[in-house]
Amino acid sequence: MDFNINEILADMLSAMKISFGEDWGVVKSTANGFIQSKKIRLESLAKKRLEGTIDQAFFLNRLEDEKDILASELHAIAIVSAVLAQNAANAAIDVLTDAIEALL
Amino acid sequence: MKNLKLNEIIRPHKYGVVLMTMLLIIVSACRVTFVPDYSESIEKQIIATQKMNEKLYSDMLATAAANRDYENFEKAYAEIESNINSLVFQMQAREKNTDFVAMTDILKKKFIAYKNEHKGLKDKGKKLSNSEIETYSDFMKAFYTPMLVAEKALSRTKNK
Repeated sequence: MDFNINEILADMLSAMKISFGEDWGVVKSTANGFIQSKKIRLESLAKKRLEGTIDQAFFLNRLEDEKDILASELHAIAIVSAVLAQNAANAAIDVLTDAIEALL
Repeated sequence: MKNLKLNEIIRPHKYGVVLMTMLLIIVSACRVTFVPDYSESIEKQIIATQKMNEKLYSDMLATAAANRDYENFEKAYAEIESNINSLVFQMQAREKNTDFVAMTDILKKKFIAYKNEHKGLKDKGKKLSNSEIETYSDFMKAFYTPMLVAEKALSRTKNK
């Protein structure tokens, strides 16, 4: 089976981009950071498997772990996105508050 | 059509100032909260726990393969697990905690899984190899990183 890490990671990035839609610009740098770390980790894992220093079961278990890593990363991205949304909403409320204060 | 201004509507009213003050109080109280407050102590604890975890694997690598039995690292495993449990407890006590609790639960689940894999090697008559230790280290780091990224993001919340 052909296992092209770069291709897989590029596809993952595209899928995340489509899924986040308009919010992509907001979370892009965080997601890119996670994908880069994933690339280094998976390349190292694949190299160890090819060299035979880890067995197939250990290799497959770690690939399975990538699902949990991705889940954790998506939770972090949700928080980064929520922080920006909170800042934007409160900035708008502050403008209204300042306008009312000016009238008093 | 003439644009109506708020002060033109309310000010001429007998109780205009009172109404404006009430409106100000209501609007001021409307600040939204989607995430928990930033905690410097939690950020430091994430970093400290990851450091302990990293040290566990460094110590294993520095130990001769024949002496890498689980029992020789049991104390370090227990200390790290205790720190992770403390993080789980602190995350559960926060408001708006869903994402943080989920990340910490994943961290705990994987730490215990890796510990049990190490523990189970004895029955198979095997020892941890350098490659396995390096991989555990890489993967554990990947479970701490999102938590740290998220906690640091909280420090960027703007409170007037």
